[in-house]
Amino acid sequence: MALTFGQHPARFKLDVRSRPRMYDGAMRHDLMEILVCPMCRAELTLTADREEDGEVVEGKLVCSGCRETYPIEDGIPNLLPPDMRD
Amino acid sequence: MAARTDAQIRENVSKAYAGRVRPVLESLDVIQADAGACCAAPAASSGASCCGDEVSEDNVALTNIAKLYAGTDVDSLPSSVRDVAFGCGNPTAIEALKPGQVVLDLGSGGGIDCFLAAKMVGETGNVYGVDMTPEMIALARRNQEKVGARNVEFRLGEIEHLPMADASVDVIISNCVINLSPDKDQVFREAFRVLRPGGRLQVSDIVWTKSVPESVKDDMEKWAGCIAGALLESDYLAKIRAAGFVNVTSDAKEYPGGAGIASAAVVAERPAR
Repeated sequence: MALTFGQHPARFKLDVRSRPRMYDGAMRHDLMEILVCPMCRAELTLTADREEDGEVVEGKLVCSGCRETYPIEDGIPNLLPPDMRD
Repeated sequence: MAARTDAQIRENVSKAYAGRVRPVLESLDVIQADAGACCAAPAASSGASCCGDEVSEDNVALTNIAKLYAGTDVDSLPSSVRDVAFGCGNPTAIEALKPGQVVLDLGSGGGIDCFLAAKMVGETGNVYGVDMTPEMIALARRNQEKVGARNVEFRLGEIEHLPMADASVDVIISNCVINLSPDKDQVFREAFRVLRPGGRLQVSDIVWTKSVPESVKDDMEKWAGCIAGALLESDYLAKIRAAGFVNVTSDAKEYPGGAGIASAAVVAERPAR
């Protein structure tokens, strides 16, 4: 389904340098670490086409496994399965 | 259910909830009043209304927020959070969340349960909300700014295909959402996958305490109203166990009227090893 909002100020925050969080003393969680391809669960690589205030407004996430591309539009990463996008 | 495909059910549910949330988005100037109004869209797929009130008639009794969230700090949340809370329980109150935990909300909607969870897990914790309806994600993010919750992330995604790494979550919450899924087995398998060993599923959902009338099952309005897609309580729990969960318990409270519709607080654990 298409994202048709004319405007929404809330932006997708993709700050991979976010502060470290302790988790059971072992694992660190930040956005890219916990985010995976919903279809094959491989890691996603971020490409930013447009950023505002350090946040990705337009761009894409590409799966390192199945190569599926997930768009980031108006600051929202669309991680719906590809067949649910329209 | 042969008459409806899973895709049709998902589309109908998403449209129904988009319709419910549009007035709030318009009032917040997140969308323009005429932008892609779903009422104007050709009703290619179904009789499911995304704009009529009939969808909510069925569960009007389920959405008394003050009652559902009694004893919770819900009054401090903005009305744009409270007004779009379509839950049937208070999942963060089923068992206490602890500081530092990673929490995932399946079908996060306007974000109410995420914001309550965010307070409980604190700065060292993290809350993720997944919802398949773009309008809900947009509203949740606007609400997040209002609330000022820094430890919450909302993602447009499907609860049958979670964009979350294996064993990355301590507690999964959900409020009156899993009943909407046409493939609940897959939802519970995904929940199991993303929970760390020893992690916990704690959800509020609608279940039937007696067999579901055939006349209700294929009614899309009743599906979006959390009635038609709901399972018999014992079937619901059996699906959770089939996904691998243990210590599965349910506390179902039937709604008045004797129809056999109940709100259940369900808890299950992924075995520690």
